[in-house]
Order: sequence, then C-alpha cells, then structure tokens
Amino acid sequence: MGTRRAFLRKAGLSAVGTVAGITLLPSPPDATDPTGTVEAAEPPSAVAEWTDEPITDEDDAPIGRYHYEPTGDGFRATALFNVVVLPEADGDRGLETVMSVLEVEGWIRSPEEYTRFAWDRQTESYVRQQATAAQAYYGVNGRRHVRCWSFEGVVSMQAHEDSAARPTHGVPSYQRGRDTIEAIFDGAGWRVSPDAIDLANAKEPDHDGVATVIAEDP
Amino acid sequence: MSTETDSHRSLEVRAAVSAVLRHPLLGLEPRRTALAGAYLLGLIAMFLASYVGARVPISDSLRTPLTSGLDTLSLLVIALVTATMLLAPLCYAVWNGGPLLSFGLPLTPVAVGDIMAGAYVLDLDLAVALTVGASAAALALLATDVRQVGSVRFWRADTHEDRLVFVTAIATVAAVGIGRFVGTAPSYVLEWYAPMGVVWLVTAAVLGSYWLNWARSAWHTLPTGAP
Repeated sequence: MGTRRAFLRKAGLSAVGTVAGITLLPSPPDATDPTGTVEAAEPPSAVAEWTDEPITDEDDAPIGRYHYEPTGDGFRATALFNVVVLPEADGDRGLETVMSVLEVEGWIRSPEEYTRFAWDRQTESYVRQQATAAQAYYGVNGRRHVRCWSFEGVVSMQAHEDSAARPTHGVPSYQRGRDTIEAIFDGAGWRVSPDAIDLANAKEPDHDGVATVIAEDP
Repeated sequence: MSTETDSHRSLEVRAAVSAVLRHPLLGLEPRRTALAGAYLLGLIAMFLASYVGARVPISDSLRTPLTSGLDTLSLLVIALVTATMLLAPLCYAVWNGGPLLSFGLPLTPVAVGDIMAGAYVLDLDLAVALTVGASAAALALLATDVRQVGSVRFWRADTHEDRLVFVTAIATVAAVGIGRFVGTAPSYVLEWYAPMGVVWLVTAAVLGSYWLNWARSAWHTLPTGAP
C-alpha cells in the first residue's frame, strides 16, 4: 500500500512539474510565410527621383548601396542594400516603426552579429548599424537577418539569409531575405513595390542589383 | 571574531557548492560537473563581452581594430554556442551523466541571449536547444546506468525511478514545445529544423526502452494474491 501511495505521489508531482514546464514555454512566432505573392504597388512619389536612373554613387541619394567593413586602409563593401523603407516618421522614430513590424513577427533585436558601417552623405561619415534584427539570436540552424540605417528619413535595409552556423554563418541568399521582408511588410499593410530602385549593386549568389521599396502610407 | 564568522561562512558556502556539485541530476563526478559549470560561466562571460562591445561607442581612431576585435568575438561566440547546442550536451551526458545539466547546457546560451534581447519566443534556436537538451538528458540516464552496471545492459541497473520520471517530464515538455513550433513554422524553417528529427529518435529509443523495462518489471512484481 505504501509503495503504491509513494508511486501515485511521484506521478502526481511529475505531472504538475510537466504542466508547469509547458506553461513556462514561450509561444512560437506567428511568422509570415514568404512563399505567397505580394501585391505590387506603384512606388511612392517620395522616391520618384530615384526610380528612373540607376544609383551608382553613395552620394546620389540618402539610400545606401553597400554596407562596409573598416580595413587598414579604408572601407571594404561587404553586402548590398536590397530594401528601402519609407516610414511616416523621420529619424529614430521612423526606424523604430520599421523594426516594430519585425518584432511582431517574433524577430529578435540586436542579435549576435558583425559590426558594419554605411555612408551618411549629410555628415560625410561612416555610421555604425543603427538597428538590426534576426529570426534567432545566434541562428545555429539558419536565420534571416537585417541591418538598417536611417538617413534623411529613408531607411536602407540589408536583408539576407544566414546559413546554419557550421561553425560560422555564410550568406546563401540575399533574395530570400528580401522576399521575407516583402511578405512581412505586405502582411502588415505596408505598400510594397518590388524592383523599384536600381542600386547597381548586383552580387553573388542571387542579388540582381535592384531594391524593393516599402512605404508606410496607406 | 569577524574573521571567525567569515571563515565559518566560507566553509558553509564551500559545503553548499560541494553538495550541489554532488547532486546526481547534475553529474556523476563533482570535478567534471564543476568543469562543465566553469565552461558555461566562461561562455556567458564571452557572450557579455560581445554584448557590451556591440553597445560601446566606437571612435574613428579605433574603428578598424575595435570592429575587427568585436567581429572576432561574435564569430567565436556563434561558433562556441553552436558547439554548445549541438555537441556539448550529448558529449557531457555520456561523459558525466547528469540529466539536468545535460538538458541545461544547450538552453543556457539561448536563454542568456533571449533574456538580454528581451525576447520570449520559441524560435529555431530554442527549438534546437530543447531537442538536443531532451536527448542529452535521456543519454545521461543511460550513461549513468551503463556505468553502474559496467556493461551496456542498462536494464540490469538499479535505475532510480525518480530519475526516469524526471527525464520523461523534461522530454515531454520539450516535445510539446516542438509540436507547437512545427505546427506554426513556415516550410523553410521546418527544413532548417528537419535534421534535428534524428535526435528525437535517440530520445524516443532510450525513454521507450526504459519504460518498457519498467512495465515488464512492474508486471513481474505484481502481487498475485496467492500466499
């Protein structure tokens, strides 16, 4: 009888523990599936002056073409910008609005990542990444990841896919990063215009040199 | 007087630490358990250095060396965390038993990262950590019994039922989490998770054979009613 009672007590305790553990588990993110089609909108008038000709210089527009890594004798371009976002608010507030859309998707702010710089034509200086987010803090089995800068009210976003860390990340795709961002902002009700601005920054493995424009205005 | 109190207190602390290190849920040999604990503390220290480094201002004059240093640190953190999440728990479980610490090893870096980022979400990193952690806990159970018997015939070991129940509870919590994760993740994330399916086979095989063994022995010891 005693062992039976002990057994029931043990079973009850472990059931309580299991339920407590399950309750403590966070929920998975409500992630947008990027395979659906995005309804393409006309590029907003705010970017009209940059949609006709390719942008071939960092000083042509407040839009970055590449982000850079400092080297012993200057800066080396590491990855290209492939998304341009126009939030309604300027500066930090606008940038935060953009990032909040990713937070709702369960993305993590400022994950473990390298430090990169982009050219600010107004201050004529290289500026460190202002806001970043990824689907996972380390991305051990892969993640999609963005770095953002806001210059003159325009957010330049570098979106890419990180491969699984074995032991470090590679970039198997820029396009899939861009597709994911398009789908997420489309789902959040922003206007998405794929292939709107030619940044003339095509790069292996799959970037065609053109950026998507995403605008907040309804 | 005060030095006496201090030395008394330090003895108490030492006794408490030693008692913790001897806890069978953490590991079989206190020295190895301590080593794993020190490794985790080192990893957290490295994480914090990288975290703070990403937030200190970088002056123009120090830009190149600081960036290169921070990038190296991030590279090391990601590489070490990857090893800590995929390999270390399984190796530790085989080497020193201890289902709780085996389960905690992959979860620690993920928890530290998510806490510092203010995130509370079952993302792919956490899904991987739960999967490997549950499997390592099951392996720790097996490793403890194999060592006790001195042969791979674990079923001859005098397994503590408590430990089996504990590991089963851990695996159940992990399985529920993964079930929810798999139910909502987009297909490309599932593809990234897919290789972890093999790890679940290990967990299921170990726990399945333990419970089968338990059911068999429970059947044999069932009171028949006859004198």
